[in-house]
Amino acid sequence: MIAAWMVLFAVLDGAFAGFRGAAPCNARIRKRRYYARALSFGALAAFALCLVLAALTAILLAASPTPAADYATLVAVGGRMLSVFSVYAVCVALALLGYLLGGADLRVLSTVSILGPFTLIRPWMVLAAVVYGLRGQTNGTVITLTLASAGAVLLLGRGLGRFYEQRLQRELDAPLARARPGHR
Amino acid sequence: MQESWREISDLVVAYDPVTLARQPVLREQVVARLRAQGQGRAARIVARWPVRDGRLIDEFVDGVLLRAHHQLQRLSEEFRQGERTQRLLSPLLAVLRAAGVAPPYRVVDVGSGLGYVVRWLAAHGGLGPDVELLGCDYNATLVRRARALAEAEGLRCRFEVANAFALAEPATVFVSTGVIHHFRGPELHGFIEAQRRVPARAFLHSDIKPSYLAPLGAWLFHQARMREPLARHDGILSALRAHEAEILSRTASAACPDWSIGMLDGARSSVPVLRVMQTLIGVEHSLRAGFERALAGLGSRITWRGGTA
Repeated sequence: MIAAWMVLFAVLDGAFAGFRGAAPCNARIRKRRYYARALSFGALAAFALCLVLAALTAILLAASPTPAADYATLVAVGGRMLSVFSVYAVCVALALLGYLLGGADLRVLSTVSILGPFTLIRPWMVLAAVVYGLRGQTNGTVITLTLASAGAVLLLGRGLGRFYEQRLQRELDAPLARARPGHR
Repeated sequence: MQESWREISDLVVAYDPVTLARQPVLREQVVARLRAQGQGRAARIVARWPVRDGRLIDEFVDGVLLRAHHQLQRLSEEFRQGERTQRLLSPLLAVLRAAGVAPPYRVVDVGSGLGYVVRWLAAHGGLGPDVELLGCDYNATLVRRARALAEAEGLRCRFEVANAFALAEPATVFVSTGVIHHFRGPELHGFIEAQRRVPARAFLHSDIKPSYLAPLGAWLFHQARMREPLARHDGILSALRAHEAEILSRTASAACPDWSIGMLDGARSSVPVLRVMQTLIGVEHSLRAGFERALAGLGSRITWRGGTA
């Protein structure tokens, strides 16, 4: 169950990372479809990452002399991390509800008090969850997998951002290239 | 913050005031000026930019500005600048129609950048077929991009490289977002006075509302949302340089003595997180009473200089 929740949070985080990466890279006005695609792309990328991490987990556990005990420890670490993620997720979910359903003032309040600041603290929240999850932990396999998973989730956000930035740059470069002498 | 501090974007481009032709900008002059004013971080940002014969390369600067403006639009979307302008503009246009002012009603966005507000109004504003939407900016690259974006979505609006106050077909209403803090003292007076001389009938200038939380909020949002170092630097400085409502309305009253001047959301709040923007409003005296009636609930958030009509 813990693993399923972790995957769910990772996929949701990926969806939001896709949105965050895409949002400043498209200046059109009507872009619901663009946002829907960005959310789906982020979620799919996160799910693919989860599969890779699951494979890595299986490999490391298979190589461990105590796979069952290691897995139980991993689940315990995941449970502690989930408690941190859950607080964050509930705050973001409430703010999103306020933003999507509320009036102008509630939208601004949601943005100013939660959505903006929580984007900024996200890496620190993940770090806090890792520290809390791994406290007192000495099992190398568990530490490796936890750090790899947390790092991969954070890097995915950066990667999605870079992906959309490069796409925008190509779009911006196209008219300049057309304007250069010699271009046909 | 020192009063002389300037946004990087104000210093790295220069235009001939008459022809609007791009003027060369020497990187070392900009860096030296920023350093002399104690803007070390800004100086370091510009010092990394490439030069040709000591001059900043226009294409590079425009590339930075384009990316920064794309990121800036994200903030405009989050803070619903289009909707904010529409909520003031729609009643204002209704009053102009009722007062018998001849159409078309030309709404001109001063310093429109990528033209987010103009394009949003064209897409969602429902302002009517008698309204022309025009964005003016000195930067040809931003204007080209704004045009391309409008064309891609089939929006009924235009963008021109032009001085908004010297158009062949003058504005009926001037609007702007995040522009007015770039003008200080006599320049601010001149900026507002120019609109009355056009002569326009009204103006709506939205900008960051200064408060004790604004610098922290601006830092936080620009760190979270912006990726260009220029955008992060200028965004935070914009919050620091934002004018107090009293300064704006006093200057506007002096510049337009025969207009009614009001501030939407200009009142100070002990918890300034609900209203992070304020809008300087100027309307001809004869339009004010009708405008106040047409504003309905929004009217209670406007403080008029000199009290009721």
